[in-house]
Amino acid sequence: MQTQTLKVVGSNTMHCAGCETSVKFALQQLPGIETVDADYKTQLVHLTFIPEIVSLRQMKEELDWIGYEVEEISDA
Amino acid sequence: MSSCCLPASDGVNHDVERTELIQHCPVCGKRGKGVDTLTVKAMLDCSLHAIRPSGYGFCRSQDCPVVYFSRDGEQTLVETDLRVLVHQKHPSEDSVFVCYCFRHTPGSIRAEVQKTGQSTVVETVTHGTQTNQCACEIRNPQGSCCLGNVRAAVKQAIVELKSQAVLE
Repeated sequence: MQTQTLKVVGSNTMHCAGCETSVKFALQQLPGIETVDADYKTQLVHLTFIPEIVSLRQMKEELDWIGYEVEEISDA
Repeated sequence: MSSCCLPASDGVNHDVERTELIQHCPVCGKRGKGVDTLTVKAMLDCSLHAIRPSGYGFCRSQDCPVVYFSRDGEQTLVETDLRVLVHQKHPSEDSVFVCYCFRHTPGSIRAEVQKTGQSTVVETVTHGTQTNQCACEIRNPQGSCCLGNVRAAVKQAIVELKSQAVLE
């Protein structure tokens, strides 16, 4: 299991709980995603996932598909 | 004829077996935006037996009649299949909502700008979203926040007001 934090950047950001739900729903469709927590106040998305099943590239593509550009934040 | 409940018939090659989910509108060819199937269910004005399991994309192109396309490429849904008119298809239309949750239109935004010289709509919508009063996923055809569209409508109204001032 691996953890990763993504930050929503670019012109389209998360504004509300609905945006958080959209992000969570989109990522949870991907096999290998274990948990997703999104926070519009910080624009951060915290993930735990199985790297043998799902890649960061796939997660970014899925978020891009629903309109969010993200960048990786290194977990401490 | 409405496309609701029927497979797409506009330029889609149904003989091709699709193994990947499409991201581009099968009619205009432009890249769509992913939308929760719940949004499509909430918007459809026909039997939900029509819903396809592949998921849906939202076509934002103003000139394209398609609002939603199924990601298996087999179905397109147009405005007449829906309960509401879609802002992206009529971005300057005064009576078509730009904010479906709090019911703002380009006309109502323009009226406030004309009257006061400014707009409070971004603040009021933001407050509504932050107090969980919004329901974009079931009220807005794009299935997500309207704030980008609202900001564009405010900007347009202010530009128009300034243009009028120059002419006068």
